[in-house]
Amino acid sequence: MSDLKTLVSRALEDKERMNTLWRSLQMMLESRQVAMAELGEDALPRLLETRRYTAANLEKLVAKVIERVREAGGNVYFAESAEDAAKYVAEVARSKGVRLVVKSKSMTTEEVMLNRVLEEIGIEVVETDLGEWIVQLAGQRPSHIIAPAVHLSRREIAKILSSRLGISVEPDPTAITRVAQRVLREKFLAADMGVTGANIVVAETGAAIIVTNEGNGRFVTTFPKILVTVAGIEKIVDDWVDAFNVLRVLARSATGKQTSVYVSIFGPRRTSIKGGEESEFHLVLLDNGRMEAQKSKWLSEALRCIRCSACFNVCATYRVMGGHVFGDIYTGPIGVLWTAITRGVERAAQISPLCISCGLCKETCPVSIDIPMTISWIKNEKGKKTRTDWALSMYETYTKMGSRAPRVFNWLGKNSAARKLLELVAGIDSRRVLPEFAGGSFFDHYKPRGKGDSSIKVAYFVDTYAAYIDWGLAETAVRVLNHLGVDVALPKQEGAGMPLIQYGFLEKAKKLAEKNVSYLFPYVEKGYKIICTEPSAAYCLKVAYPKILGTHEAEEVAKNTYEFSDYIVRTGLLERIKPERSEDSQSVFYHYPCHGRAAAPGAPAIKILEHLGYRVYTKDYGCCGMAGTWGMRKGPIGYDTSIEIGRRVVEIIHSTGAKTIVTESSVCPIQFRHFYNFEIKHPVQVIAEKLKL
Amino acid sequence: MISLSVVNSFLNAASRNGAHVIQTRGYEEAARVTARIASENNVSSIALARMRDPLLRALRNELASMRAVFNLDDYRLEEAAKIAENVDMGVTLVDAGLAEVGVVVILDSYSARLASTLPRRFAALLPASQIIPTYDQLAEFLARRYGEAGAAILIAGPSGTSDIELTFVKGVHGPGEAYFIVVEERE
Repeated sequence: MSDLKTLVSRALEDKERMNTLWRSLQMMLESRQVAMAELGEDALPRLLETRRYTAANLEKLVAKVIERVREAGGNVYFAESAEDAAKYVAEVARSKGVRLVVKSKSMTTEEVMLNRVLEEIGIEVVETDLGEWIVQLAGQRPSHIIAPAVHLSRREIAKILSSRLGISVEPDPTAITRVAQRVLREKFLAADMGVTGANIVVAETGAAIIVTNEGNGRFVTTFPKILVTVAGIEKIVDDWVDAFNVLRVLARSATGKQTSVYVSIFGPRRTSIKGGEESEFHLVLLDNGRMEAQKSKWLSEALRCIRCSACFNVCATYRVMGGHVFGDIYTGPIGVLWTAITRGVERAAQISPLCISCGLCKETCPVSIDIPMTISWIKNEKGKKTRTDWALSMYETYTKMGSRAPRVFNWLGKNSAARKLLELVAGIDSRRVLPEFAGGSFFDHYKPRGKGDSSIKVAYFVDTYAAYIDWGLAETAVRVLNHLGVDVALPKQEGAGMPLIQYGFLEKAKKLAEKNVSYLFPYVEKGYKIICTEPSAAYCLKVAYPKILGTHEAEEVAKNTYEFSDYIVRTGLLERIKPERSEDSQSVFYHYPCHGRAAAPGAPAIKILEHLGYRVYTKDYGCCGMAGTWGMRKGPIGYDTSIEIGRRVVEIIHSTGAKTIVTESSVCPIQFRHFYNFEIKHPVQVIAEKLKL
Repeated sequence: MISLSVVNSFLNAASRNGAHVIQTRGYEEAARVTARIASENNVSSIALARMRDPLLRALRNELASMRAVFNLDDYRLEEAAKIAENVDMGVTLVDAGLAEVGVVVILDSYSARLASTLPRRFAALLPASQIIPTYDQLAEFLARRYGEAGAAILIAGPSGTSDIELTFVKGVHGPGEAYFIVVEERE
């Protein structure tokens, strides 16, 4: 693991690169949101249906493509492995005396390392997507699947081009683009062979589809005499309607545009400018682990991927370190799954510590691939557990202990020698200010209130923080619920176990989940709803448990669990509080916790705050970088990275001028207070104040 | 009968893609607009693709004063390629428009391909009656027509890139200016 650590440390030293990357990804995230909001209601369900069909019918679709391409007189080759595919393409090139190959951006050809294989037999290979060309000249690999050079600044790019082309290039995007245009136009017209990947293959007609904005894809597919398209078999869809189900969403999700500039559709009957009627088409269908993945409960979902890269924009760690650290050939969150499919789970496990289980990738994924839980599984299968992983996975045990001896623990928490020791033994960074124990637990203090005869009954799933660290929060929650006419029961329970899931201890997590479900299910049967004030707890109950357990009981508990804010808004309880309209209303910043997005979609807390008369600022910047206990871990994969993320997030919050943050999470505040002495409240506390409870 | 709203959504969507959109009535006006675009942009040579009468005649009329006007379909492939490489603007009669996202659809041919890839400016002449409302209908269109062509291209506007610090630069390998001229039948 030291390799990854070194890579991360090095990445953290390059401030210019981090700033360029963060800025760019924030822009991509924001423009994507606007574009996705314009989609018709049925666009995502239709896309999901199309992609689910593909992920479950690879053999059938492959057979259909092979038949249709052959019928139309094209060449089609099924490659079992990456080596197979590269060998086939090299043989086509060699036997036809090809000297110059022009390529349009393709991750699949990166996967089979085609450039290297072609160059080894003396063929010149030129990438023609601007970003990819820059990366090729730099001797690097793409750091992002749709923006390969997103990690490089204009200054760096100008330097690379100047030295590689022997001309002076200004550090200006337009000037750089003009140089590329001139150099590459000659290559397009001279090339004997074009190579592309495919965004889509349409089984019905054997046609391939690629999308580009620069127009390089058009040149590559229509000028050279020979065209080779290398497509992963999961790119096949059944017919034109399916193809457009993908295209309708692809550009919006990838670039924030309603469509790509060019959608090239071509196949066995293509003709070319250089070859006329003699033109050739070769379709290489690549398996390389995909058929096998189809059988895996965990990896099969990844076969739905349309390579839009929306998950990159929201990934907290990717946003600061980029694809040269976060990934192998396939980078970013989904890249961990694709590494597992194409290069094995062990290889994927090596990069898996960069996943902090915030879950935003799944929330943003247009085909809802459960990337975070699958990475937890990869960690569980092949991840090397460090002492810190073990220590932090037991976080809930410590908090229980702390609640029993608050004075000792609070003193230890502030004592520098004790913290140094904790850092040494458990790997908890001594610079992190840990929350103080109030002393005792909510379970000792809970008294059933209300008459117990309300028709609205909830069972409160408290989770670690409100149970053992600051039980005042839990008490306030019960008071608020009682005031709104809700009877609150307190079932037997353990902590939700998020740290176990995060660090890949799935067997332990499963045992814990079984226990909690067995405690909660009887309440659900009696008509209770389960309420969580901690978003991560709601996430465990609603999202993680059903996935880990797969039982009817877990599904029922999931269906009946609500995050607090979501519950108050959804059930209309909020209307029982008199709305407030204040002339000079107070401003607050709402921080939407990552796990809240899955557990409480649509940011219901904002409705609560507005109802109570606040002016609410909010901004989507992804995860704050604390990620539960992850931001406490000493070292580059933990505290050091967490701080770089947090610094940028807090800058955004500051730019709104808000001094008060409202958030449901109990751990994000640790990050915010690290930078500034914000006033931070849970919506429960805001309501209680307004109601003077 | 093509509904006005489909034409309008095409025009709106296409202009969002960065294409210059122009609505015209009849072939004569479309030809006049093409000539105006050419003269406003100092275009001195034009390649036409897949034109047919009466549009071709109208264009020849309007462009009569231009130094060089080539009808690519009159040339052999190699010659046509040389011409397209050297002209300032390509003009193509396209097969369809997709209103949902404002793109023009070209069923592949040499001349159309050359006229829409190589010159710095590209004008698409699109009969209003050929505008398809949604992707689903485009799927039907391709199911009927893709086979005869063996390839197709959807073009949304000018070529561009955001590969350097996400700064948009117009015009990379394809044309840097795109004009979509919708031709409505004269009443």
